[in-house]
Amino acid sequence: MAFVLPTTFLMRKALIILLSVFFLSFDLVEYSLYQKDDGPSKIKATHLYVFTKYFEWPDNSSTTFNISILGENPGLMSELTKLSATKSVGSKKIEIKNINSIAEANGPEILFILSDKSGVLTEAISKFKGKGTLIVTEKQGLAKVGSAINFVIVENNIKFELNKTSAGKAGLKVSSKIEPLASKVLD
Amino acid sequence: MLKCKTYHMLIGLMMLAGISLAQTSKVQRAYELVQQGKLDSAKMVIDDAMLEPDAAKEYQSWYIMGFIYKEIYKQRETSNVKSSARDIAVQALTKAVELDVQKEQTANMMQNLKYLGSKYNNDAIRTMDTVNYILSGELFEKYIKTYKLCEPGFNEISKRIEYYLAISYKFQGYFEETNSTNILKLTETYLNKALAHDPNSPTANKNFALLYYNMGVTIIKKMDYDVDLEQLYILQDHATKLFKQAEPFMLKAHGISPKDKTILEGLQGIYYQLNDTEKSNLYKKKFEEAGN
Repeated sequence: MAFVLPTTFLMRKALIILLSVFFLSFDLVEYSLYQKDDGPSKIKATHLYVFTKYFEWPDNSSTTFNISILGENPGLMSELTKLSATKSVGSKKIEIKNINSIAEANGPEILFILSDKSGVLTEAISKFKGKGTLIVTEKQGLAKVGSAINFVIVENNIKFELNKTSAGKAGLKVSSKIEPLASKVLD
Repeated sequence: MLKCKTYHMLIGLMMLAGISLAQTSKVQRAYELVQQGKLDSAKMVIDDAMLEPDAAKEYQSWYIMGFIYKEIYKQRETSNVKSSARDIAVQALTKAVELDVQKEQTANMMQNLKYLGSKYNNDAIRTMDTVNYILSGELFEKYIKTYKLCEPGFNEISKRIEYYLAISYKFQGYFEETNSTNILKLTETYLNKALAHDPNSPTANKNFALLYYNMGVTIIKKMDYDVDLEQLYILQDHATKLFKQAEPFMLKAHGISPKDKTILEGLQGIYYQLNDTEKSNLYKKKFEEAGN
């Protein structure tokens, strides 16, 4: 004989059960933790700042330490702007400028020529010879052409080549402590 | 009143057919008590009744027992993730289903089991944290076991992958907050479990890639501008290794879901961080071409 629960009782319970059977879903798995940070720009910006500890600039009366970026790299500009808000070089406030031509460069302590503007390197070397401007580039082979620092990629990491002669011609003194850290040193 | 009494007696007689007289009265009594809302008394009586072999042979007894314990759970223990009443209810109802060979009440019993199973699932999700994660796993296993019985077409593998991805996602978040090695290991363990069930899960592969990618990004993000160059290279090298660890997972996810924009964006990001402009631009182009 069949086992039967009273109909009304059963119906009421069934309704409650149906209403109660719900799931908390797992839909959160479709979201991803994706941080859009510009690591290479942070690394290059940090290099530019750290270089100030390894080079000696001729004395000048300026109260600011100027870093000019020739070319377009919003990520790098953003990092340098952040950096300049909290750091200084000695007692000098760091000033960041984004320029589009050598003509706009007004005696910066560091001139970083981005890869798409590499063609102006020779002109920059000539313009800033002996004037205390550290010229930095980021294209294969430019240390040989005459930039004092050239960023290179070694096994997916950003490293730099050092051209001591170029630094000297620019009127800068180079600390010997930087040499072991360079991927290549050109005399 | 009389009508009601008679009605209950009839029902009781119907339900207890085939059970010995002594046992019949106990099970019937338990049933009457639960209908009167006297759950504690009903529980005592049914527990006593079930010690008798004759009662334990009948699916009806197990059904009543399961029903009583389910009511106890529902009325008093829904906020208790370790509810023993729920466990006993599931065990009793499972036994009842097994004994109901004629399928007289199987559908109703399944409804009760589904309800309890869904509660295991909900509690498994609620306990996905660094303190209760073992309990969460146990609750999830109970959910799987219960639902496999209730739904013949239940897709266990799919549910397992969803669960492992969800818990790994939560642990990934905890790891981002704490940087704890133990939490990282747990995150990897859960992602590996998801991949063990389906090595071609695009989400599992993508999340694995993003775990390592985010770790690499965090290293650089936290780096102080005052860092010396030796330390900078150590940190950069560490981050690069993590980006390289992320690469094969993201490539695999891309192979499975070539149009997935989050994966294309992920590859663009990985290669950008690896200073591989050519490949980064390639995936940037694919991302833009993929449309909305």
